[in-house]
Amino acid sequence: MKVYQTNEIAHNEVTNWIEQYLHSGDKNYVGKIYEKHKQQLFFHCNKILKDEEGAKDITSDAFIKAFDKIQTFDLNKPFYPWLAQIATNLCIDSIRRKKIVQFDQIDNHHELRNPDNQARDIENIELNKRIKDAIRKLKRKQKRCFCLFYIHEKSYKEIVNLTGYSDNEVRSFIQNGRRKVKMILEKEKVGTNFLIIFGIIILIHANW
Amino acid sequence: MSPKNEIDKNKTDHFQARLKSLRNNNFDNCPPASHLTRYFTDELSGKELKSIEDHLNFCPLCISALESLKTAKKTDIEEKQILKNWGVIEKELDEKVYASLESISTTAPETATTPHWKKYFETLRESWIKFSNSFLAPKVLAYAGSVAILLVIGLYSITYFSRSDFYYLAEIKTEKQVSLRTETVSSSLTESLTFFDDGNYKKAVEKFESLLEKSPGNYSANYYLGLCYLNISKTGLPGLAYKYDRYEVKDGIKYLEAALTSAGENQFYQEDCYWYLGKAYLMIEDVDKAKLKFRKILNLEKMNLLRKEEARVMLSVLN
Repeated sequence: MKVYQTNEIAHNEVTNWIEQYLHSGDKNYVGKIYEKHKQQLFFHCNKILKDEEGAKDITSDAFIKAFDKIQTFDLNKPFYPWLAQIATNLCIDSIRRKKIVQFDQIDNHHELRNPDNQARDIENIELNKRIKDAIRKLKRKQKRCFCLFYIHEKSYKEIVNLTGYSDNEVRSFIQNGRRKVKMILEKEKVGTNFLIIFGIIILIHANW
Repeated sequence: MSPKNEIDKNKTDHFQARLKSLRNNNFDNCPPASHLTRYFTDELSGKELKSIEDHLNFCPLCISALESLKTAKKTDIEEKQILKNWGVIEKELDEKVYASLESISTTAPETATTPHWKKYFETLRESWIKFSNSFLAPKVLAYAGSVAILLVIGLYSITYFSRSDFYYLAEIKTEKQVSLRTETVSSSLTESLTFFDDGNYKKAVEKFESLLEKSPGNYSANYYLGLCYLNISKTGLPGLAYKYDRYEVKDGIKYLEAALTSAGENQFYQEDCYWYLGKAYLMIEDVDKAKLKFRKILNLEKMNLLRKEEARVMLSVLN
């Protein structure tokens, strides 16, 4: 990422502060580091989250977490990328947690409408597993586009942005993937029956 | 993020609803955030890359996180606008950070030293959990199980088909010592007979052989040695004796013949020897000789012989 690049002088300055902090335990040095990087880190978080309130929380959390485990920091490496890494990880966690809340609300709404949904769930688990296995048999690119389109419900434009494939490629991957999944699911039925019969024949032979 | 494209409407709703329900909706299954960032910067490879790609296919949570990382790289938010409000933001940030800075400990956390064997077990456990969580696990287990079952079936069927035709006829019921027949039992014989009774035939063989060295031509020593060898010759899977070892059966025959010659005129002795010789010949599938031996029991003259009836049945079956 762009923000990872810092100049060498600043890097030496910060590592000096960290060394002195580790040596003396004086928290003024920590304050200096914080003052130096707070704006940069706030921009970094805001870019990812696009939300000032959340970015504020995460910048402070990231600083606290970083100072808490500063003993594990490798002094030969630049400090800011390490700090930014911690911040991005926290951002990812917060994004995922936010999404869960959204989905929970949708699911609850759905269940209220269909009371017999739960009874069907048990049957669905079996089927879902089979479909998942079928999807896993697709080729890598096909799988990626297929899942993004059907499971995550992304539009073609979003898929093109995310994966970097061309528009036509994405279209063909999705259509071929869909055809293939259906084919695999139909084949599977025949396959399992054949296996069961074969097993029975072996058993009979062995006992005779 | 509007999913309603032109082409969406053409797809069948049923299949799509199914696919939607495949979504992972549990934060616990997600990989740690550091894995995602490493995936984003193309640092992953091999198994880790595969497992995270498989997870991403079904996890909308991680996909949305990745999306925002990607858009963060491209778009530039107007920093000027933020800089206008920077004073307010800075104040809040400072309050939070400086309040919690005091609670940070300056000493390094003590790393608990765990013994080696515990670490080893922990890594084993972790790898097992990793394996059972991976999507390959059910496949691997199913293949291993079916191979094991096939192996067992194969082994049993091989032993089943390769056993001799006279398996049931040749089977010896391991009788407790027949000492009632031998009139005088020496003390050294009783010692070795206890091994024979316990089924410890290999020990019994040693004892009887040392006995034979002292007094060659001893009827009981020869007789029991023969029986020992016949019992040892049984090989096969536990509970199912499917085969008789030819060389050991031939040893048994040798000793039984020697017992016959030392039996002299005693027809009780002769009967026992003929009976087990017949069985031994059945073990090595020499039917003609077995028949000869059983017929010899019928030719014995004494009235109250025990095995005459059995020998008659055996001969009728063999014919």
